[in-house]
Formats: sequence, C-alpha cells, structure tokens
Amino acid sequence: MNKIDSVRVRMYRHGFGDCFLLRFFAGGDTVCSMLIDCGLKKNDSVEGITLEDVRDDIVRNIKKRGEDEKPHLDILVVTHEHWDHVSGFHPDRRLFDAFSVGQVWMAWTEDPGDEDAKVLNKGLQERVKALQLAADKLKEHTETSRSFFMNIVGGDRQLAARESFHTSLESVMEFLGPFTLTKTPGGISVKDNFTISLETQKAMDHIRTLADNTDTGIRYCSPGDLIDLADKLPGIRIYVLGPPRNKLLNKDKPSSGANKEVYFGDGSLAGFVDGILGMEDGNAVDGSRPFGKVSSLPEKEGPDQPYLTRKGGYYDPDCKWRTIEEDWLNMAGGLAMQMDSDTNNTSLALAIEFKDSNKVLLFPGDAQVGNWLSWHDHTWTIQKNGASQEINAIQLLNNTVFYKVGHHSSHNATLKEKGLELMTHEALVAFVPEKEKQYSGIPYMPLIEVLKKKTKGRLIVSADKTLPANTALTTKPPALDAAEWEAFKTAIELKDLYVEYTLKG
Amino acid sequence: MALNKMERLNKPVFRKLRGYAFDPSLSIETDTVQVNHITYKIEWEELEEDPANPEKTIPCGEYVEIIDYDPASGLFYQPVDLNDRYLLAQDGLHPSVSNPQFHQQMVYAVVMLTIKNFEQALGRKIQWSDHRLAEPGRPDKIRDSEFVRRLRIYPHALRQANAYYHPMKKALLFGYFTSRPANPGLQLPGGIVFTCLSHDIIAHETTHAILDGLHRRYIEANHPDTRAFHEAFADMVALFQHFSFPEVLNHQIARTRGDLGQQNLLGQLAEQFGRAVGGYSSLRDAIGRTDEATGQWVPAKPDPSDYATKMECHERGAILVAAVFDAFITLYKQRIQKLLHAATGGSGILADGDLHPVLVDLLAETAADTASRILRICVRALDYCPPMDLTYGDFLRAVITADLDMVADDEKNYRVAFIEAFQKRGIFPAGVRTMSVETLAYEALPELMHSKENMEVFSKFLREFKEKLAYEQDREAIYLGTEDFIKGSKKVHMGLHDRINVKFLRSADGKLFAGLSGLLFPPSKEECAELGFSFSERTKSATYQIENLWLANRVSPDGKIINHVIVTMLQRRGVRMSTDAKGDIAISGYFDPNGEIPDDGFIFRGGATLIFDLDNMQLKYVISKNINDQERMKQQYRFSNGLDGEGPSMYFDKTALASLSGPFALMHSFNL
Repeated sequence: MNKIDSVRVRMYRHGFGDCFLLRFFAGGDTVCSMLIDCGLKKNDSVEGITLEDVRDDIVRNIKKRGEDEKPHLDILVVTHEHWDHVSGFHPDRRLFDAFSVGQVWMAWTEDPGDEDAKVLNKGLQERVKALQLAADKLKEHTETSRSFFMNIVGGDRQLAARESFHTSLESVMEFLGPFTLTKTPGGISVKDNFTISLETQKAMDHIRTLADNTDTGIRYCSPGDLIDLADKLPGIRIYVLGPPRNKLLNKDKPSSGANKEVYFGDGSLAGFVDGILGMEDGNAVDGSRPFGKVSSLPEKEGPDQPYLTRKGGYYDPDCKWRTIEEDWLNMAGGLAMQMDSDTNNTSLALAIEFKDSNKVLLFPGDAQVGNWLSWHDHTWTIQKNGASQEINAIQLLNNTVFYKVGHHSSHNATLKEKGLELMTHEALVAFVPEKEKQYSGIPYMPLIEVLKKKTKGRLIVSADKTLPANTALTTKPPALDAAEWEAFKTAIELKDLYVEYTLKG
Repeated sequence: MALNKMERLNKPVFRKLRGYAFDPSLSIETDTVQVNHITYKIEWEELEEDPANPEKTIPCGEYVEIIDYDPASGLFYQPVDLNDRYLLAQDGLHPSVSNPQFHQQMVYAVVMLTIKNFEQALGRKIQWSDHRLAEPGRPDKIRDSEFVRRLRIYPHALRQANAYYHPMKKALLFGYFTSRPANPGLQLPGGIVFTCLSHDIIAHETTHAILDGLHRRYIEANHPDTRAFHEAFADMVALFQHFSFPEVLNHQIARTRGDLGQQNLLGQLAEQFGRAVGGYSSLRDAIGRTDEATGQWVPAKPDPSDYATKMECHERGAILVAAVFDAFITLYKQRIQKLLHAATGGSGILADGDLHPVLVDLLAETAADTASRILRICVRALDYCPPMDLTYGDFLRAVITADLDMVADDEKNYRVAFIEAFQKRGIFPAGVRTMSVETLAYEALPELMHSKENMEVFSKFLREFKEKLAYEQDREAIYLGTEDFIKGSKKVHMGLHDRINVKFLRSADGKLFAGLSGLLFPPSKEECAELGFSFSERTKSATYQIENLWLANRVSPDGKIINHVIVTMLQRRGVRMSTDAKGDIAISGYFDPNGEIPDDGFIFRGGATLIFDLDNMQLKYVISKNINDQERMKQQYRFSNGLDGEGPSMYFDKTALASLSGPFALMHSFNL
C-alpha cells in the first residue's frame, strides 16, 4: 500500500460541539477515514445545520463497504464522556446505525476492566447526586426568598445574580449530559448502573456496539502507547499523550509560579458532598462533621435559645439579612466545575504524525492542564532510518502544524509554557470548534489572541458569529507573507456545513 | 454598668488569650511548635451577658459577635464564655483543633488585635460599613442607612477551602475542609483544616471588612489595581502583624547564625509564614523562594515591568506586598547595623556559635518595631487616598504624604525606602514625572477659596465637629453625630453638605472648588442632563454625596499632636461608550445616572478626599479623581468589559458571582 501523503481535516460547523472527519490520502486515493467525536451541546444548534446533515456529509465522503454498501469508518475516536462530544451517538438518534466501524478508540478511563478507571468512576455517583441536590436547594431558596430580596438594597441585583448562577450551574451540568434523576419526596434517587448521566452513558455504550468485531473492536488507549497501523495508516504514527494515570488527572487550572500547585480534587469537596447528602437524610449524621462529641445543638433547637433570639441574635427577624443558611451551598458551582474538569482531563489526547516529515496534528480533546502536563512524563521509542530514536512531547509540540484547540478555547485547556509556547512550527494552523454566547469565558479572548499570533492569523472558528470563519480567508493577516497566504487559502475549503484543511505530509 | 472606685481601679487593661501564632499545622513540626503558641494581649472589653444565664457571657463585644452556626452540619456550637473565671485564670482555653469554643476564642483574639492595630494608626475608632435599607419593594432605592455595631463572625460557615468577608451581610464566613496538601508532611493527615484557626486568614478577612468600612467604593473593580489593592492590603496587614510578635521572631533569629549579614532571614521567615494554611503562594513567590538545589533562600528580583504586565488579581496584589516588604527589609537592615557593630566590637563579623541572647532580643525587637511602623504608615495612608478607583501610584503618594505630615524629618529614610521599592517594580503614579518625596507628596495647602472669612466660618464648623465627637466613646453616637454633621439636623444647624453648597458651590469661589475637587457642578437642569449628572432641585446643580467625615487625632513619633478632619466626596455620572469597527472606543454621550442604565452605558465616579488641618484652620490637601477624566472613563470601560485581558472566568459570570456572596468569595483559594 502506498504511503499516506496528505490528510484532510474537516471541522463541522453545527454549533457548540466537536465533530472532526479526517481522511488520509495516498496519491489521490482515500486510504483511511477517522472520525473524532460527534456531539452538540444541549439546547444548542446552528440554523440549517443538524447532526443529520453532518452525518450525511460523512456518508458522502467515506468509502462504502460490503454487499449492502454500508458507509465504512475505519477508525472512530471518542475523546471523553461529555455530551458536546458524544451526543451524536445516542441510541435514540440512530445516526450511525447504518455505518460499519472498523475500530473504536477510547481512553483507558472508559475500560470497564481497568482497575484505576474503576476507582476513578467510583464516587462520581455521590457527587452527581449532591450536585443536583445542591442546585435544587439553591433554586428553592431563591424562590422562597424572592420577596425578602425585593426589600433589601441591591436585592434585585442579588436575585438576578442568583438566577444567573442557577443557569450557569445548569449549563455546566449540561456538559455531563441530560440528567435523568427521578425526584422522590425524600430527594433524588440515582440509579446505580450509570456513572454521571444516563443519557451520556447510553451514548457511550452505543458507541461500543458500533465497533466491528471482525476488526480489532475497541482499543483502550493508555498514555505512552504508540499506534502504528501499517495496513490502515501507512506512513503515519500516532502517539497517545493522555489521559494521565496519576494525580494530574485532577488538576484543572493553570498555575503561576512553581509552588502554586493546588490540588483540590476530591479531598476538599468530600465534606461538601457529605454535608448535602446528610442534610437530605435527616437522620443520618454525615461523616464530615468536624467535631466529635462536643456540646452542640441541633439547628432546629436554635430558635429556643435566648442568646440566639435576643435582639441582634441570629434569629432576630430584623437581622435576617445577615443569616447564612444557604451560603455554603454556593460551593455547588465549584463542585460542578471540578466534575467538569475531571471529565475533561480524561480526554484521549492524540498526536498524529507523518513519519517522513514529522509533521504533527494535535487532537487533545478537552484535556485540561493536568492532562497536558502529564504528556511530558513520557517518551516514545520509534524506528527511523534503521535506528531507534526517543521522542518526547516537546518534539511533538514543536512539530505541530495543526492544532484542534482544546475545550472550545477556554482558558484552562491549552497549557501555556509546556504547551502552546512549544508549538513553534511556522506553518501552524488552528481550528476551534466553538459557538458564541454558550458559556461565560468561552472563548477566552486572550487565548484567541495568542493563537492568532502563533498561527500568524491562520485560525478558524467553527460557529462563532463574533469570530466569523470567512474573514480568515478574505483578509490577509499582516504576519503572513504572500506565498503563505496563497497556500493557506488554497488549502482551506469553507462551506456552511464545514471547513476543511488539506495538509500535505 | 456602673463601677465603684475599686472596680474602676482594678479593671483589667488586657484580656490575655492563648492561640496559634500561625495555624495548627505548625504545631506538628518540632521546629515551629515552640513559637506557634502565643498569648494574644487584647484590650479588655465587656462582653454581652447570656440572656439565659446572667452569670455567663457570650462572645459578643463592642465590635464583633461570634455566632458559631455550622449550616452544613446543621449544628450550633456552644458559645465560649471568655469571662469564665477558670478561663480568665489561665489565659483562655488551651489551643485545640477539636474544641469549637477555642476556635471562637482564636477568631476573637485575632480580629480584635487587627481592629486595635487599625485604630492605633488611624487615631479614631473604626466603623463597619453601614447597612442600607430599601424602600419597601424597591431594592434600587435607598431609604436609609443603619449603623452596624458588630461584624458577624461565623467560624464554621462553609465546607470549602475558603473564607471571605461578605459585604452585604457584614460578616466573616470561615470554611473548613478535609486537607489534601501538596506537601503531605505539613498538614494533619486526613485531618480537617479550619480556616478560622489561621492568624493570617483571620487578619486578612478582618482587613477586608475594615477597609470596606473606610472606603466603601474600593470593592468596585474599575481598574486592575482596585481589587488587587484590597487583597494586597489584607495580606500586608496579616504579614506585618505577624512580624510584630517579637516572641516568634526571637526563636527564628536565635536559630540562624552568621548569615545575618545576608539579611535573607526575614524574607525566609515570610516564606515560612506563607507555607502555613492561608499563606498566599503568590505572595511567597513575590518575595522570594528557597532554591531547591542549594537549600538557600533567594530573594525574588523585582522586575520594572511587573506593574505593567501582571494583571491577574493575586499576582498584581503580590507586587504591592513585595514592594512594601522590600521597604521593610531595607529599613530593618539599616537599623540593625549599629547593633551588629556594637555586638562584634566594631567588626560587624559575628563569631561562630549561638548568638548572644541579648543580641537576639534586640534584633527581634528591632524587626518587630520596624514591622509595626510599616503597618502604621500603610494604614495611616488610607486617610490620604482618593475615595474610589485607587491605584498603587495613588497609594504610594498617600504613604509619602501621610508620613511627611507625621514625621517632618525623614532621618531614618522611611520614605526613600518606599519610593525605591515601588520604583523597582515599575509603579509610577500617573502624572508624576520624577520619583522623589517632593514630587510624590500631594501639594500642601491648595487654595480652596479666596474669601478668608468664608474659610474661617467653614473651619469653625469643622472644629465644632471635632469638639462634639472627639471625646465620644460610643461608636453609634459617633456614627449618628457624624451623620448630623453631614446632613444637618435639629442638633446641627446646616450640615456639611449644605455648607459646601453655600460656601463653595454657590459662592464666587464655586469654580475654584470644582477645579480642586475634580467634580463638576453644571448650573442648570438641562446642562446636568446633557453632561450625565443627576440634578438636585435643592442645590440647583449636579448631585454629589459626602461619604465620609472623619476625625484623625494622632500623635507623631516626636510627640506632635495632629488634628485633622477628613471629608470624602463622591459624584456619579452616566457615561455611554461606543466601539467602532476597528475596536477603538469613544465616549458617545451621557445619561442620568439615577435613571435606567442603557446597554452601552455605565456608571462612572469622580471624587475627592479633602484633609483639613484644624489647628491652622486650613485645607491641607486635596486628593481627587476627576469626574471629567475621559481617559479614566475609557480605561474603566475597557477593564470592566474584559477588553484588557483580565483573568479568566469560566462558565460563571464574574459579576453574578460577585453579587452572590460578595466579591471576596471569589478571590480566595488557599494554598495547602
């Protein structure tokens, strides 16, 4: 089989979500097709583009196989369990049911037999339950305190802030996928057989059924793996960068200064989760109460205590504005972000390399800081010109010519010093799957600016009206010389449905 | 409570309370266990009786009330009775992580110590920011303001690694959480960390509350410096309060030998302080760090581009702390030179072996004294700051001017040390060309009015204010009395607000006053509307507000008594901004700030701090922020719309979060 000499990366423009079709060519022939994720944020869409349209376009562009001419995907890569990456695979949508899929690649964290993954997924149930409870309680508190807020100075703003907080909380929870928790009088019961969201889980499960068992089936990738498939991808090497198998999995935020490593992780949240679950079940004493058998008073007896009901005391009605029943629940925001980050950090991060030219395409999923940092813990041994050679993350980043920007260009999904700063290739092009006004802080404009600088203006955003894709092709960025500009324009195909970049190996 | 003579004579001056100098984590390191327990000496005050049992008291005094409610656990913890005779006999409860009553005692001690440090420097009693009452059903209309006697303290309010001052509730909320430190050796493994047991966290949060009581507008984020200043100032108070405990320094100084000449000791100490819970890592990095390879502590090199480039709130805050710390080190070095020479027979070279205990004492005392002075200089400067939109440059000018007032002859070079330290980090006040004491100090004795007579009448009024309130001990009476003097009442004929109207705005000197204060007073309803001011029917001009009227009664180190009255004024203006295709912004018009805020509009403020010298009956300084400053308008617009590349906010809208639990809830995540 001839060596692969070019790849076309097609980013679909269906809204806030990832869907990338990669087609590898040798001469003029398609050698291999690879789909990386297919999802769309809940309650989002771009007018005139549905996931069905995306699917149909994929069908048109990949080979058919077998007697019944099934569209055939050689490789399906699923980066992580977030609705905006996997919703297209939900069984009810049946989008890909008519496909044949050669191999499905997932991160080791999805491997049901992996011991580390089991530990990781344990505890998620409690957290999701606590999160939903806290969100409900906060909402309830806002509703019951409406008249109270309307009678204090700035109360209207506080109410608006609370409402915005609820909305934001819900939209972060949407990453996890639709919650299907059934509400009982005592609270919420969670079925034990799913991890975060039943619907997202269904989508993940459905993906597993797509894998063709006549091929290799599902491949669970671990960091440090080197994938070299001479039959499917001749001339291509794929490095598995993440997700990490260590504590960096919990690291979500960039830090400044060497001593600034803060690991919140489960530890500092455990008490919060315990508190909420304990509150829900009136009889249970939560394990995170801070003091043993010290003299304390159940809060319901508080209103009988003269020192608390005296003028100026906690239960003085004139001092209601100073009470703090619900303040601790605001931590739900932190919990939601933590769960979101934890899942993002389980992203399968891949570097796809042309063996001859060493040009790299980087697909980090939504990997956050911890995942990125861990790439530097590995080296890969390759054979080149008859000798073995050690490859590390720095070289891969140096050679990156195409970067799928992580997590829709939020601030915490592109590492600076040990990430973006190392992407020094002069031909760097970046694609951002993102849509405006979906989340506060996305896109993170300073990052967009840096990316523009790094790519000399060769940056294309899928569906953000404030960063229109077509201007990238109509106005020559000053940093590009005439030849580069021509080359870029020729390599890009822009349609309403997608934008495609052709990269020569 | 009426006391007889014997009782009056015997009334204690101090209440002694045991507590941690740092936080409990240092009690499990043998190095630090000896210095971690100290006895706080707090000015004695009476405590409220427990209504259920008059023999007992609850932790509720003049300034604070501690309510130990733990909503996550659904429990109230018994209030500590600090007047219990057993406790009085043994300086309070023994420090203990597992006793919530000790937690209350610890918080009480540190909060009160911080308050007293402020009062000493300011020369008056501190007040909490007042509580504003709304018209029924109209959260946008302020009906009245109410005195807040006590700051509420909730030692166990949250289950998270956070603690914050809640400006709407006038409360400090402390959290606790299961520790999961980066360095497991330092914390109690698997144990719970209580933020209310850390001296630094308590002092830090208390400072936020005090600062809010002084300058209410400082919590508004209009400039990269404003929030950063709040954080930095709170850190500075925590840090220098620490250095003012000689017993803590004593131990550390005794352990080091020989390298005193290097003078890295104090920086190293600061780093150790920072390692405790609530140590702010950005602060540590700003001062210096221990080189892992050599084990030597290396001070951070200040970079003149710091101020221009570091925009993230904590990093930016650390610049200011590092600058002040730098000044502290310089001054300490100077002061101990003589001691070292005396102790070494003039050679300045210390012999091997332990330091002489007397020398250790002297060094510790010098460090503690220098720290207290620095702290006082910084706190005093707050009276010389503009009432809103404070920048680091403004603060430096305030420090220099305040110190010039206090100590005429800068023999010990305090002012020079400050200027140098700020300069090294690229902090230059706007409009100041060269950095020297003369150029940085605000112009003294600006001419407020041509009419001497008017000025005398005005000064007499301020003297009356002083006479009325200088000896008043009750903070509520001070609050109400001040309000009378601002607004006028039955007791006070014509308040300050009216007098400014009559003596300045409507006099021949109106223009002079407007020019000095940087405020604008368009003379008609139409002009007010056109220029974006609210019109007052009463004064027939733009509205303005007198926010503070303070008395500062201070004694300088050389025994001079300083009598000042400080007035702060604020004015609001509705500004509209437009953005052109190139992304450039321009002022497109104005609107009435009391009306609906249009989509492209925002509220802009100008203001001035006026300092009057009562002894000489003259206006000493005016520190103003011009309401017509178009550059500042643009800068504020850019900053509040995130056009300056401010820190990231993911998923949750920052302003929404800030209204949820107050801006400070966001700022703190503790380094563990």
